[in-house]
Amino acid sequence: MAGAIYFNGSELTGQHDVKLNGTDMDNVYLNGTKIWTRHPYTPGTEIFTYSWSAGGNINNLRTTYYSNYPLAFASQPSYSSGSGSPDSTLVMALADGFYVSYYNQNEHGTDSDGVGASNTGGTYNVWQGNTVTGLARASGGGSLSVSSSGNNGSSFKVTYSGQ
Amino acid sequence: MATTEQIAHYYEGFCRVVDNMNAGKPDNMTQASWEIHRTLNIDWLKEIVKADFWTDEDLTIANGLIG
Repeated sequence: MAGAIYFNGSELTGQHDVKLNGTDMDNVYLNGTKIWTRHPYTPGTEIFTYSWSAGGNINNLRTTYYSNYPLAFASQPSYSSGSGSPDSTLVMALADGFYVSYYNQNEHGTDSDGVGASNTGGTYNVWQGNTVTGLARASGGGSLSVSSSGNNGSSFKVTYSGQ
Repeated sequence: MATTEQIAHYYEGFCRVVDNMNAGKPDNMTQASWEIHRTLNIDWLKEIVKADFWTDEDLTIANGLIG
């Protein structure tokens, strides 16, 4: 698990905290067992923001965003309904250490405090209809504090927590 | 920990969702969109009433929707 190593009681939180003779280490082994892997990003790094509109197409989240930010996803997003245009629901599983740190729905406002939602992994439904859009936490515990479907567009931000 | 302002914001959204669901399908929304939109919002209401940040807000206004 990235970051799960402590020095004098403090968790190592940088992307590279472990050096050997001045060289950054990617992995640390103890007696042949990997006990630490470097963070792929510095914790707190905003990885990407995705915005979509009612009546548009969300397929680029499944293709372009997955291709550009593969570490953020546990697997390639797939449809539970539709194929990108209304009415489509794209199931997005985030990898451990990545979370939705911000969600704005045009009608219902913004959830940016993380209350109610986990800060690592989980599955979300990215939804788009002809007049509405939204984001819902589908599994992994908790829920977003702003409604999962409302008028016009939505956006969310994925951040690396390292947890 | 949610602030007083955030709780007020979330409750405003909560009430708007209840009103929207009670109002029924808007004329400009397709039936297919409405069915998913309604399911998502009802599921969201069922989850958000369990949130631990509520204080004395009246969440019972959703009872008729979430059973």
